[in-house]
Amino acid sequence: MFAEKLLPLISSFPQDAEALRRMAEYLGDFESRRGPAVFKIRLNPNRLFDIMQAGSTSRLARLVSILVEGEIIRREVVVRFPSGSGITFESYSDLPFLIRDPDRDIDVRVTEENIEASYILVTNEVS
Amino acid sequence: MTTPLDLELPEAATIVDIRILHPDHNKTPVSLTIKIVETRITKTFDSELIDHAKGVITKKWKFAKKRAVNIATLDHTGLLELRIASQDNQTKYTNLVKELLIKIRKFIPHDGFNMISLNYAKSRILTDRILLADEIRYSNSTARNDLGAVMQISSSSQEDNLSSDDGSMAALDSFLASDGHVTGTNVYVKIPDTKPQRELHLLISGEVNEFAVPVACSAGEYSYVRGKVIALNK
Repeated sequence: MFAEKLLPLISSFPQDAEALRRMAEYLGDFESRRGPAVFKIRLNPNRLFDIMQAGSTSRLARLVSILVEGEIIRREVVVRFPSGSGITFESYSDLPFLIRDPDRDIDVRVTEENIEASYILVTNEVS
Repeated sequence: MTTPLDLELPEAATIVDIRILHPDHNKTPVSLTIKIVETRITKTFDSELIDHAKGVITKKWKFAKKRAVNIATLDHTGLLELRIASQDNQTKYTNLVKELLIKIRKFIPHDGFNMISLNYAKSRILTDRILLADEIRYSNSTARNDLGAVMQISSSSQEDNLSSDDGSMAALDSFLASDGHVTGTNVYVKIPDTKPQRELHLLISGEVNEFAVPVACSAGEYSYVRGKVIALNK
């Protein structure tokens, strides 16, 4: 299903076709092995870099932009706590200055040290 | 540059030395090294003043200037290594890497380079832990699966070896077997032929191509650890 969604993008962006094909293969493989769990996929930029073998940050940025504009993935921002858990926000502009770490029950300042971009499949959205 | 610049605390990051290692003039140069010196500010908390009337707490930090040396080396195989002096109170190096690339761009245009992901080395350090038992001591590891779940395993103390804990390792193996990926390894590399055994702290985390040796060490020791990371990534 997702592999098919990427086909028009692969045709539209021949320069990036190989990397997009890798993404399609990854999604197709995941879906065939784990079925509906594919809807819960959540990937960070490093994982996307490895899956698509982006090669450089500028190329990764371009590939992510293609996938976002093609409505394959959507970016969220996660404030990550030392325990490994996190709280998700729709965008950087939604980030608060302080946030409650539910695991330690203390206020934590939101800085570039504890935020990370995270990408989910567009179909994950609640309708 | 014919003579390296002798700068202690420059106002702006400055290239102080450029060297081409070319021992055999009939062959390709072995490497090009550019050394950049910059001044960093390190803050230490000093005191806080509580103004009860205004309901304000004012905190004061002292700062000191510190010399930091960053090095870029391009070897004859085309491998470009950027070595950034460690920071005291930040773990992200992205901006420092960008600044260094801009600084050396005149001599090493970086457009043609691909980043080498160290993901394979990160995983291999864990999956080959029995083979590497005499070379590496395990402290903690972080893994993430493709559903975004995070797993962190730490040894009971910095002195312990996590790889001898079968239960923890089995849990990590199971996590990795189901679309999990190692995102950070925190290990100690044993330097051969040292008594008492010398170990260098090695962190492979952060950006895909980033590793850190956050301890003072000799050039030979650093070279050994760097070589180990590169070998594990093949």
